[in-house]
Amino acid sequence: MIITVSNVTFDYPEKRALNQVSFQIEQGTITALVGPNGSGKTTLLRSIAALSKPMSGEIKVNGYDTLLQPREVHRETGFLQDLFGLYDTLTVYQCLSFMAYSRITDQDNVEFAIENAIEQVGIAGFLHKKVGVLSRGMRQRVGIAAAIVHQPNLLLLDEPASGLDPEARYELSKLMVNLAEKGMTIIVSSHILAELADYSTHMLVLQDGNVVEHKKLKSNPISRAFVYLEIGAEQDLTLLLDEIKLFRGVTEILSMDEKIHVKLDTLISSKHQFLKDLIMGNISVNDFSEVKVNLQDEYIKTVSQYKLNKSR
Amino acid sequence: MKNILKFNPELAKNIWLELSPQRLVTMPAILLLFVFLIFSLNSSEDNPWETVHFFSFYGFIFIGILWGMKTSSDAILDEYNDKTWDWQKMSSIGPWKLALGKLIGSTIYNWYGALICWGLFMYSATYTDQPNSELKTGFLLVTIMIGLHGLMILIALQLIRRTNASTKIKSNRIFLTGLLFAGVLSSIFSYLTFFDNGSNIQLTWYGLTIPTLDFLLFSSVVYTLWILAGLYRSMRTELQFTDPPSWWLFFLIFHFIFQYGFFLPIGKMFDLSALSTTLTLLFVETLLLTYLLALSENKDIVLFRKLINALKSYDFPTFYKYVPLWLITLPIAKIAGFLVLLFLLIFDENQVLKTFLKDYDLTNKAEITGFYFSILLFVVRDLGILLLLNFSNRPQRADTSMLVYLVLIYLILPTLTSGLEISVILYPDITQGIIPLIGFPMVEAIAVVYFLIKKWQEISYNYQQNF
Repeated sequence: MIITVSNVTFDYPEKRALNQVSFQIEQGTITALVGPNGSGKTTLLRSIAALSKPMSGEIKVNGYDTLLQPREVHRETGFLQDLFGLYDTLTVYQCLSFMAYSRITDQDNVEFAIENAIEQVGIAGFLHKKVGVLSRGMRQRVGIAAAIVHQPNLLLLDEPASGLDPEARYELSKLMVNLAEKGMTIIVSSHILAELADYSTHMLVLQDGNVVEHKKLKSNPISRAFVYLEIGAEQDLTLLLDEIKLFRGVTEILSMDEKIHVKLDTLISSKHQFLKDLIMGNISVNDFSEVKVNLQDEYIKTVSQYKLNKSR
Repeated sequence: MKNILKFNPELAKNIWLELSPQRLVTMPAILLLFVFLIFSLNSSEDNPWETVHFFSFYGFIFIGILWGMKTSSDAILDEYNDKTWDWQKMSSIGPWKLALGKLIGSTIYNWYGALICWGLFMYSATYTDQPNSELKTGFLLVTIMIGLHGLMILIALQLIRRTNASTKIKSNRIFLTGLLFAGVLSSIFSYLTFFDNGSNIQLTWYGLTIPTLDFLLFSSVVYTLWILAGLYRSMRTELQFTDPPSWWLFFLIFHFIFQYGFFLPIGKMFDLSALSTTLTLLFVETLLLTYLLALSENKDIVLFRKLINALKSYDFPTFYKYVPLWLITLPIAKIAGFLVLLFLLIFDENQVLKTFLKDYDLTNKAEITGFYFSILLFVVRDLGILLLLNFSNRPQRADTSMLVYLVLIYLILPTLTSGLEISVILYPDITQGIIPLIGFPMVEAIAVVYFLIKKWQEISYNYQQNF
């Protein structure tokens, strides 16, 4: 486990932000940290990053105690805050160099680490631009590069997609997956649940400072293996079900409302290949679309259940 | 630049931020133009270097000290306001490197200009009547510059620690506090040196007779080192180390020993009168520091809950780690005051009190004891009110309200009611007799403590209700 949170309580003068919070997070996962405003998401992320000290309880990051070994935790962690700042009058390269030299203890590896971060987030094209003139999306990328320049095992992102245009959000999603593929554990808090669903493997729901739900969304974080496909067909559904079941990559199949829902393992077969197989199999396909796992529905269901339990 | 990055990334960043080619050219151009003007406007019978000496002195003070104070206080506040401070807190830079990177780096442009002025000041010193003392003054200026910049950063760090993350902080308050401190410091220095320039006035310290300027230089270096030590500790706190306030205690002990040397007669290492005088001074200083620190440190309820939890579980190391400085300065004030009282009661020894309270009967042991307890009770009242204000639902303006309250209680109301003899309700007044001297502050202190306990219970109840 890269993160172990045990009975953490965090109080602000006016309210309790976290109440006896406990959970564990596995290495290499992407956890969507969701919850309404004021539910304690930022406080939790800051506590994991050893930037805020809880009232009681214990947080360990890769075995390091955030209270007793904050510097070790900082070395293990990259943290991009909701409202982060950068040095606007420095160039992107200067900014990254400063971050790298101030975060990496082994000075011989710094230049390599800078190049690596630049490549990972794709900012090679504007290294000599001043940070202050960058677009929100570009700035976000530089922020992520600064957060990962010391090659941390854990990356914490607080509302990274807020204010980004759709294209930048898509790029950010891709970046999350790439980082996770390289073994980085990521916790990302966001209000935009549809996007979290694109890349999250786990969901941690916070409500009123309590962990309401912590569950696995997908089995393999790297493959993001399962997609749902919807096929509109005029043929005999029962026969089709038996036939499609045998196609490459199909792991689950069921019929609903005169339509077939297929769960496809994209590691074995791509959507494109599956469509090709359908046509080659002489199956008449009227509608072929991806149905996303609706994280929002799951979240609403969880929170509603929590509120119901609380009212009882 | 890579070597500077390797040596101190914070310094390198500040060089990038502060030293643009235009700025590098502008500063010497303006200063050299000034020198050129002095030489061209100077009449033939005057020595232009003396004028250069005069202006370079004030140039150093303006560019290096005053402007540098503003820049150094902005150094932390800008990072805090622009949300870059958390990057720094998570960096691997050690507290010394970060402190020095901030101290020298943020003011590097001021150093650039100040060093040009300093060079001119030192060179032109050879044309003055007393080149040696001018050269010493030059070194004194550099020490003061480092000390005051360090102090500005220290105050800024203190301020961000007690401020809500969403609030932007302006540096004006810090700068004005620094200016006030610099003003007091320069008045003392001017009094001791410049007005007596040439008269070779000397100070006696631990039996040693030392020229004033030499002593000022020595004490400036020593206290600047203490400021740097404080800066180091403060940076450690920012880097999330939790340290007990031992260095603060060491500083107070050092300060006591340092002051003791002034009152010690030549040839003696122990003297009751010197000890009593130093303790009186320590009592007053630690009381003032208690108020000052209490007003400037974080006083949110969470900290006190942490402290009380630690005490309840007999976890004294944790208590010691988190205890605010004002809460450990207060017992020192109490002990110092108690020793002063003992010296007065047993040995009838205290020249300072006898001088300042010469109109009162200091042989009346009951009254003098009552006076001590009256002071302590009023301190309890004031600090209790400060905590009550901070524990209220709107603590944002608690400390400012407290400052207003202090001015009202200790300055405005006594002036307005001077004929009414109600001073004993407001502050310790030895002239009013033992019973009112103790009685009024006791009632006030008990009332404040009662309300404080009620408030504490209410807050604890609210926490329990919510969860």
